[in-house]
Amino acid sequence: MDTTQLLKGVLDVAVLAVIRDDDGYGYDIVRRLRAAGIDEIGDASVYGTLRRLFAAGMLTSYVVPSEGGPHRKYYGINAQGRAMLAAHAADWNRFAQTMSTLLDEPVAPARVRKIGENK
Amino acid sequence: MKTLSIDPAILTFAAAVRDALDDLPADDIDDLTDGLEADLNEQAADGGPALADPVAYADELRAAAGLAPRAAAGRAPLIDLALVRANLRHAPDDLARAIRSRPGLSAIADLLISMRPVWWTIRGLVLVGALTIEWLANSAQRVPLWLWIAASVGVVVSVQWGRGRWLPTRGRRAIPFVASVIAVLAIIPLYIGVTTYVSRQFAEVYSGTGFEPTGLQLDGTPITNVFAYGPDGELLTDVQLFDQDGSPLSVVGADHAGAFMDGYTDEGYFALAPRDSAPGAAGWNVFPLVTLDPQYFDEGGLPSVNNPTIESTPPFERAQPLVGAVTSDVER
Repeated sequence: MDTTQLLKGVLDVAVLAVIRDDDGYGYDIVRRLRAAGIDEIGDASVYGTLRRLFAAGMLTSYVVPSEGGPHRKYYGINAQGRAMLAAHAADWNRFAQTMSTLLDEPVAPARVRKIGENK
Repeated sequence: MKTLSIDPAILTFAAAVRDALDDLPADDIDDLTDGLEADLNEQAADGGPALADPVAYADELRAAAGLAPRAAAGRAPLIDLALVRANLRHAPDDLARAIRSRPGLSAIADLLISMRPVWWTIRGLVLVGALTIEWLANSAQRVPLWLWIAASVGVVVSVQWGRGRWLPTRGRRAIPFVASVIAVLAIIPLYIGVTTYVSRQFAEVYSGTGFEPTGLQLDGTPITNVFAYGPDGELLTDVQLFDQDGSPLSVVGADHAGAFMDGYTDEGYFALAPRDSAPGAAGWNVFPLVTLDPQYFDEGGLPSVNNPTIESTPPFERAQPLVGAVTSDVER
């Protein structure tokens, strides 16, 4: 199954999750996501997501110059980002639980009698 | 892993990505592409996928960042005439809304709207006046009747235009507007014309003989009487005064023909005549002149024929004695 569409909905949470413990720069975050098994997502999507989360006030950002090379822009999670991550994690777990249950044991649809139909 | 130099292809690619985002504010572009070279460089070093289409890359960045896709392809013309026209059309409404949303400005606007008839009147006068600038600048005549009539007509027409009357259907708005613009432009030339005219009128009036000051003056103020005091400070009477050429110093001037001279001071009407010691026209330089006794004025408060005279009241009863004169007097 193509998980790209699925990922789009949860990329924000995934990005927040991989920098929960450690600040990271753009490609570093891409690498962490790939290491975690999320490899269908383009790097530009990750960079754009970082920018959006930053604009929404979930991240802090700072630029670190590197010797001789181009500077890197680091992102770190802040309190608001952590709160959102926690909320989404809870949502996700509940949703995943529901889906797992649904997929493992299909529930028989309840039969509703029509008007005039005998038992 | 860190490489010190960056592949020129990456620099080119990053620049192309920034170009593809150049419709965004500079801050947004910076936010989206800060550190892009470092990321791409590291990705390449990691054996990442080859650099593809920078425009597609930019679109992906943009979409993931939640920014609107780039506006329809094709560079917008330098001047969007339709937009300019639309903005111009909305400008009065926009301005009105901006003013009305502020109480202070709104009150001022109401005041100015109430005062519009004043401007209509001025506009009518100025437009008619502008037609007479040539006449104003070269004429010294009094304002002729036709000009007053023309000015009145101008005011009436201008006010009617202000009220939206007396205008053809085409140009209902344009004609009053153009008239206002011309009037504004004509104000300064008209002002100069009127000033020239007025100053010429004054020059004309003052060059007339009737206004030439005559007789004795002090700093431009006419002198009506002279009081002489001797070296001992006592008031002298029957003093005859002449100038350096032997001309009598007359308070009335050489051409005065009357038996008395009169005028007004803060205390009221007064009339003076030559002394009895030098009666008639020859006595106007013999001082002090005597005062016609007001008790004998006629019912109209004016001197009667052969009005009796009294001594004029001097400004000082006695003046300061002169030092040399007093000592010589004592010695004598």
